[in-house]
Amino acid sequence: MRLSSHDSSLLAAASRRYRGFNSSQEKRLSIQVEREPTEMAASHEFVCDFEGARVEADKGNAQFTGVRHEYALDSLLRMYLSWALLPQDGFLLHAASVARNGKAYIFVGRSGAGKSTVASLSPRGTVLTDEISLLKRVNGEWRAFGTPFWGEFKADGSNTSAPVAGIFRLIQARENRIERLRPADLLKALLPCVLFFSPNVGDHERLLQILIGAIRGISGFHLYFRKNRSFWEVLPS
Amino acid sequence: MNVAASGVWQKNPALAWREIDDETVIISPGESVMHELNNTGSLVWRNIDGQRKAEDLARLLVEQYDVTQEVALADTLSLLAELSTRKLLLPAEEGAAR
Repeated sequence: MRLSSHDSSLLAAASRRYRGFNSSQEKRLSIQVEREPTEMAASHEFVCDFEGARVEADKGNAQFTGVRHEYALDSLLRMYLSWALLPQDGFLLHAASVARNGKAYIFVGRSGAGKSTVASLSPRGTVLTDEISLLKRVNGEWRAFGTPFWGEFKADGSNTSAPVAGIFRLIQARENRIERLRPADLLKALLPCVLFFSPNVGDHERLLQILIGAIRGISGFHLYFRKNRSFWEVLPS
Repeated sequence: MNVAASGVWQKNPALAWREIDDETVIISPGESVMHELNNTGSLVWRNIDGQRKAEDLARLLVEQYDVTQEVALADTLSLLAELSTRKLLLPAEEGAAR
């Protein structure tokens, strides 16, 4: 993405927060960020509000206004990306992603499910994100991308990607084991964890289409796990 | 809610839905709520077209499953009432007027 702003302090904070993900050469996602709120002057393909801040977006371009702190910027960016990824066959998921042996393992679950725990039990430098994963189909292959969104791990996500090894729904247990999910069950497990904010029914239809593609192309499992590194032993290589 | 056997329904156009593995997942974008239908519910849902009556939908269940028309109709009316309560269905004439 390419962030720009007339407010130098806001731009500095944004550049710091999203270093590694912000490039002046990027042409697909161009985002103008401003501190002052504005009245919406024209209709846009995507509009979303967050605590006085607003994202207004059309293909490839977005304007964030009323951004008074980094938290608002982070929230608007999540909202915007959830919509902007649709044409790229991509979506955002409440999930940790960890790279291992060249593959990305996606650990999905809501708050408290153990995403940050799994990330903290993984070798340093292998965590793409401990909070919000970005999955996208590239040349027919589903890949997980690092994101600048993090939870308890308090570490920058990594701006790299890897082919997806599988999606694992986290269930804390006294033993480690996996249980294969049918595609329909994987879809039902994913949907509550997908970040999506568009009120447009057409956007939701497109999202469902993308998710159906994902569950056809990615294996899904329940992962019953103990809170130590031993859970890796039951994951498929 | 009482649903008449002669009632005609149509899907709420403000929904996104997909069938997968004989099940149906329905999303209400306005409420960010997910609804699920099993295989028999999916058969009914698939055939709600703004023209078929509830009794016609029940007949499809009879053709597909080992069930009497009486039981199928009771189940269909119950399902339609539930879907209507969740605003997933609209009476056909109301939907046509939108």
